[in-house]
Amino acid sequence: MRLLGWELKKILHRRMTRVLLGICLAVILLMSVTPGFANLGFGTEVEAPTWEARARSVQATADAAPWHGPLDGKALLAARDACRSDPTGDHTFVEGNILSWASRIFAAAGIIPTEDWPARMLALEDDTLTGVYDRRTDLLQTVYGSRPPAEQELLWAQEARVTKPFTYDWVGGHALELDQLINTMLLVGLLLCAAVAPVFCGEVRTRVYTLSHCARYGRGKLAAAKLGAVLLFTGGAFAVCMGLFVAIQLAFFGTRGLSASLQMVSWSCMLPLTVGHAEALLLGSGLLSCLAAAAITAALSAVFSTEFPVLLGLFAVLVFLRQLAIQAGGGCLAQTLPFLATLGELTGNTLITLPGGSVRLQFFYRLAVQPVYLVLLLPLAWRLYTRRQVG
Amino acid sequence: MEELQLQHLTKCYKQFAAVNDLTLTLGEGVYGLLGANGAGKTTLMRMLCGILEPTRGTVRWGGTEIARLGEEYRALLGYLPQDFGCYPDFTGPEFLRYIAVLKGLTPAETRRRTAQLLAQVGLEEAGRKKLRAYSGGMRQRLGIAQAMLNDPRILILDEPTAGLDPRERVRFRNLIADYAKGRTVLLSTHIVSDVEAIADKILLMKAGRIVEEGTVAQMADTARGKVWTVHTDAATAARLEAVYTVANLRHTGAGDGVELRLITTDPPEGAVAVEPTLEDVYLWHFADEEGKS
Repeated sequence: MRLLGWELKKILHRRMTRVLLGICLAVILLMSVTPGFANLGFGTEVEAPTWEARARSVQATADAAPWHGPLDGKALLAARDACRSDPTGDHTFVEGNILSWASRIFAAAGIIPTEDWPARMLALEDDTLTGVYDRRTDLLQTVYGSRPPAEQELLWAQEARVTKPFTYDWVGGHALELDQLINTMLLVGLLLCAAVAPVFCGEVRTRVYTLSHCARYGRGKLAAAKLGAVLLFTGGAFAVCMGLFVAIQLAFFGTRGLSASLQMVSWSCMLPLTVGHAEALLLGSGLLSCLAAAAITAALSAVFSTEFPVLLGLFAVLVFLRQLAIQAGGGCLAQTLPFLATLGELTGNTLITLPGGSVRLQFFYRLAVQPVYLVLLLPLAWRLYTRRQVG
Repeated sequence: MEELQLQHLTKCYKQFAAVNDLTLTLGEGVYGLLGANGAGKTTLMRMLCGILEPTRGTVRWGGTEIARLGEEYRALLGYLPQDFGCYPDFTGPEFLRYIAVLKGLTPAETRRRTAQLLAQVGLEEAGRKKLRAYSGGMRQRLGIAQAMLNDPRILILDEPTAGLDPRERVRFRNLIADYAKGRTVLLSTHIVSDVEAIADKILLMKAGRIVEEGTVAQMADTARGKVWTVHTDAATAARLEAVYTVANLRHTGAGDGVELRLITTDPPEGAVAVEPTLEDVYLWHFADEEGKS
């Protein structure tokens, strides 16, 4: 434990660590403050980022409170009636948001055209409007009906667990936040991994390993302590950074929206999740990816003698290969890289067929493979460092 | 007393044998390892520390191979490498505390030994100074302190006096002489007088082999009849310098009188045999590396 404490202290002591943590903080502030001042569908006359956009967000969050709850037929009709009585839409932003959500399903079903949807929605008959859930089911059957049986079975099993009617809240802010989350996590992860890049190669570059390698605990126990410190630092710093990100978002948009159904962000999502669940899953995936990336960094650091090739290798894996994997699309191997899981994947019902034919939701597959990096690469890094010869 | 036994120890880098089939036993006492650059001293020391694997041969402590002893052997070891590295953002006491944890010292032992050694190497005043601000001599003294932190049974010091001023060198010599009782100390240096002062036994290393070993007196005997002084003028001295290995050149009195100390088996006319020193022995053995007789 004393050795682990020292290794953690060594990481935190480095000037470069402090610089990188400072950049992390700047990234977090920039990425988390932006949605608070963004135009989240407030009309073309609202410029962003401005205080006016911020005020509209605050207003929308407050106005959505009475509407928070099951979005049943009664709520849909009430929203439509409210919009009818306010033709300018100045005081019915939230009600308009409810109709906007339903309009996407009706437009996809060909019941109304996408353009001029507000007027078309106001003109819908009660039965048509309240039949929005049936239309959604029809659409899902049309979209996924041609999929192989195994895929259909998995998706409909998930869909059966979705609570209907969906829980409504205005989630414009949270939806943008979830979009920002992915890139923020990738940037923070990269910076944190750069901070731990010298974990092994720094010992070689400074030649301290000539001392430590012949000290009693300077091999196996030191390498284990270094790996522990890498995981503690990257995991801890990631948790703090993303915790700050989430805290700022909650300060902007409140916590109530987190209990809204994920279908409020994407109507075609077939997972029984709330916006809060999605956020937790994305953060969990980010944390696992960050730890996996740290394991990659540690292994590279145990191979090389200076930081530069380690950083180059890390960039190649986390940015270049990741981009290739995104371009390549399917394939288990291409989908195993860290920081690939996205909100779109979660809400888009993306599936992956594993060798052997079993089908999994791609998001959960990626979540599950991240620990494999830890299992494979941490022992490899340990072995490479402990067996390193002093040249 | 357990001993370090080296048997047919060899380290090859491609075709080049840095240490070549070396068999040796190191018991209690101070061993001075002398040799020219590239003789294989550092390679040998690294293999003794277990941080470099031999190509062939074994190093045993108490009859067991050091690789098998692992932690148990490293607990007995203190090592100061030639190219001693440290963390620039640490202070001296901080660095020693870190090394103490690596060496498995308890917190109480760490406090006691750190304070004691900082005083012994004259660094107790350095306090909060970061290692990046240390002079070469201060770093070297810190290196000596870290090597002795765990009170090692086997102390291996590679060029320990490099960068130390004469006063610090004397302090270091006294420290090692006092420390060596009941322990095995192996030190390599280019400063022959350091070895001469404290070594119980000298090991002369050349091209990866130990070519001569013995006490200072025994070593001096090997050069008896090969060390000469000659008094001559400056012009003749210049000619002799080109032919012989000159251990010392000294201008004498007024005019162009010069006294030369020559290492040779074929002295010039008028040369007088003198008592050899360890430096003469060194020069005798390594003269051929400079292409002189």
